[in-house]
Amino acid sequence: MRYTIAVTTPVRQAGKTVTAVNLAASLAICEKKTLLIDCDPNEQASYGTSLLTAPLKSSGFYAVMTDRARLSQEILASTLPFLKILPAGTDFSKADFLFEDMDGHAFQMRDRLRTIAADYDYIIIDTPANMPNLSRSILLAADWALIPVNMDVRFPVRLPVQLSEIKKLVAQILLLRDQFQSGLKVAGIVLNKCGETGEAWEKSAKDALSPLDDFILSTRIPDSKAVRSAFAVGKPVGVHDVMSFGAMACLDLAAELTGRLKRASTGPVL
Amino acid sequence: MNIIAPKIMRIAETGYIDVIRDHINWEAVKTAVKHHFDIDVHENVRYIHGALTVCQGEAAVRLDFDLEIKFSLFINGDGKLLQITALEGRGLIPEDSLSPDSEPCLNAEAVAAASAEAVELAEMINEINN
Repeated sequence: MRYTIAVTTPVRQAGKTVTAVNLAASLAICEKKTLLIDCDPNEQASYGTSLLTAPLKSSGFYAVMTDRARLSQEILASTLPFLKILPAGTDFSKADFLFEDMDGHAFQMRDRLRTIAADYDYIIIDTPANMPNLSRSILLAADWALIPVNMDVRFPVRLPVQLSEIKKLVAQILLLRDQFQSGLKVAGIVLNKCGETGEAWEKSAKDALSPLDDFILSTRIPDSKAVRSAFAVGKPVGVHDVMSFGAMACLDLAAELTGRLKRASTGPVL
Repeated sequence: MNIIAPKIMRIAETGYIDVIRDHINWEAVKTAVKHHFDIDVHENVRYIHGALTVCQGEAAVRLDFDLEIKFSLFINGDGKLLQITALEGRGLIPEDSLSPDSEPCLNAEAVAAASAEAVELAEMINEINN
């Protein structure tokens, strides 16, 4: 069974790209055929190119969506045999306008993805925070939404505000289900940039998040040096330092998520 | 109204920055980069750009470099390293956008607010998934 997962939240710097790239790489390390679609224009210069086995030649996502290129030809091999990448590519900043007209383009992305879906076990989409029309089309193309929350105590968007913003996202998912009969569900909430357990912040945050316990993945992405330095050089932590605690956490995340999705596909959801 | 030709200002600024760049203590920079990014600096550092700026309320010189990552050094008038950041667009949160002096834990009011949001969010996700 194939799963298309949109890593999404309206909160900027919540860890969408860290989650998407590390999840995709971890799935690939586990020999799951994985496609990572870079739809975060801020990151196209880093993750879109650093994993590629050859110099970037793809015209990328925007060219595919405007029929200037074929999707299957724009997907590039990576240094991980089971991971392929569709870079954001040039002109990506125009992508949001492309999906403004919902009548014509609501399912354009979903339809494109269907043409290559059989080649992959998992399609991971790194969703932009500030392109509402494109984000909506990604939600319509995905089966599952994975929502990162930034747990860094220094993060300027405080936890209640992050949750309030995520509520807007979830309200949008509900709306899309009504309007377009979207089958999108919430795969879970992943806690990013977690500090050491036992800190006062961790305890108070855990109390605050307890109503969401059923949806929060037990694996947390640590705010470790390995994760930070891997991100800085544009690599998944599993490639940068496979023996690190951060790499292990990302592999655990992939295992936990795949287990959840399989159970959800055969029984009551999550 | 110009009282000095812009060209003179640019030349002066460039000269000032160049002198600072030429006298950087690379051992200290290596230590800072290692501490912040866990990356070893060898001889492959490329200078990109320099500018006068304000950092943490102080006049500072910003020097951008590229090794495995692109990073910026912010140096104040005393030569002290005020800040080191990855350049924007690489996804790291600039240090100056963080709040190191902020309350290290959620206060009761924030816990209550977050908890209320979490309750509503859980109900909405349940509606979607079931």
